[in-house]
Amino acid sequence: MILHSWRRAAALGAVLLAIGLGAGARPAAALPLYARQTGLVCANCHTAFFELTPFGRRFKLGGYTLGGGKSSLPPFAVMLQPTFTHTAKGQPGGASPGFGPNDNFALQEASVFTGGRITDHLGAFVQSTYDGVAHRFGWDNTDIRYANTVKLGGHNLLWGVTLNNNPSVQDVWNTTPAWSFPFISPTLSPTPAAGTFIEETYAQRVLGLGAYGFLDDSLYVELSGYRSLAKGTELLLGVDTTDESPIDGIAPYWRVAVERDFGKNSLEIGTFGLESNVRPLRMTAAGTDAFTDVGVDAQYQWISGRQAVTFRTSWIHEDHDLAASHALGLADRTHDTLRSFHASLSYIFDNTWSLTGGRFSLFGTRDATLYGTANGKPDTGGWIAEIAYLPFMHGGPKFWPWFNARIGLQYTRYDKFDGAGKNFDGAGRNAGDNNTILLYAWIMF
Amino acid sequence: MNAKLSSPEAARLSRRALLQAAAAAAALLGAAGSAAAQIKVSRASVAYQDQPDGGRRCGICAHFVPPGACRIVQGPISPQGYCTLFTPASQNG
Repeated sequence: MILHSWRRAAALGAVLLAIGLGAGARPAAALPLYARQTGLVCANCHTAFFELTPFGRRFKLGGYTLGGGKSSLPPFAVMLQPTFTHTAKGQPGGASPGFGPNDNFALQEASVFTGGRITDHLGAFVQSTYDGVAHRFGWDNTDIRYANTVKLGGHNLLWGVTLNNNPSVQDVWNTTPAWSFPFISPTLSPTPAAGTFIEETYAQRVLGLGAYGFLDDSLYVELSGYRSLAKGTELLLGVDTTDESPIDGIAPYWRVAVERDFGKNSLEIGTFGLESNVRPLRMTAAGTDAFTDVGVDAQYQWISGRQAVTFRTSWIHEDHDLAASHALGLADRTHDTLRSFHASLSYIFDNTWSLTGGRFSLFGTRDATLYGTANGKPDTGGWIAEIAYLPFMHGGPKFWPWFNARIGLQYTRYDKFDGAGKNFDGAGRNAGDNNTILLYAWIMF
Repeated sequence: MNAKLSSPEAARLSRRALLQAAAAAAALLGAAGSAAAQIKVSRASVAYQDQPDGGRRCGICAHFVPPGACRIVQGPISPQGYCTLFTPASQNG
């Protein structure tokens, strides 16, 4: 018990340190606070936020430290996401507590950011968010890092250390889970029952420390370790602890990627993964389950004057060793697999108009007890089309030049949901009934 | 819970580990605070070219450091060059 108190104190200390570092950051500098810090416009770091350009990736790898702006405003920024969500067929009982079955307006998220450059080599991205659907305020994506450069023989090494709270939030390519397309998803439409552990399951529920190197502006290698927060710490930070299965010990995360930039082209190919031992629903009587996530990804960007094209894809294979869950009656089998595929293609004009089409697919072995679906399968798949208008990527209005907005219309079409295309819930609901139109405004200032 | 981990000795070790971590963090912050130049990015990452893009050239850019460097991009930089970060000197915010 004493140790638990210390664990809580350590976790809380880390968070307070994060907030303290952010609050104490020197006012300098496409988060609007980064735009002020650098004196650059959002379009320098983003093709259409929040997809990063090659320069944006290096800004992040350099620890968010690049300066040069003349603003003396404090390093804070605000994000608002008002949304309208329509599903092909309403959700009986309401899309969420306090909302109707269909056609819901919501302030999906409201966030405050701080961070940026603290010293020449220390910087941060610190976000806290009010969830307007769950009516919950808590910490959100956080990445504090130290970065520096060193010469190794004839080679240049950019190296760093990252302290963060979400596996892949520290990544700089828009193919890994934390920053992949779709960049915004409706929270008032039905959510599939299954998902791999590396895809946001641990977001804000862990604290991770890692070291990375970027050799000769091309080869990226990272090794991190993640540990679950104590439940008391999670509650203090506003994290939803319902039905969570924490990591037992430390879960290693790895990332290797090669990027080549030539002329107007930038090509990346990589792999990433997470190995986690998990206490199912916090129960320890039967030991732990083991989850191994191995992903491969690729991204190609072509940026030429006022036009840009980006293709992103990833494939994740997750192996489940479910000995503990099976013994506890939480799974039908002792071994399952899940596979997740994403691919998307964007055309962006003048950093202002963005057209994106994407495919997502999740499938795996049948396990009715584990997934709770009618036919036992976890399969969900579909297509996403999105058009977005970003009028301020080259600078906001004169009274607040760091204002930015993304106004978008997104359509998600399911051909499978929770295991089937037709009657997936055994009560007559089809996957197409969950097709969703999301109209959103994503405002940053 | 693992009895060994919850023992008072383990708690003392945990406190010692925390103190060591705090000392390491202080050293890191100290090193960070004393470091000098900011990290610059490669020329390839900003599509640098030795020729201007119409009237846009490094010599009139807010980030240019005469006679042949840039505060953001690794050098050398030609005043007649151009890259995707071009910002007219008058617009730097």
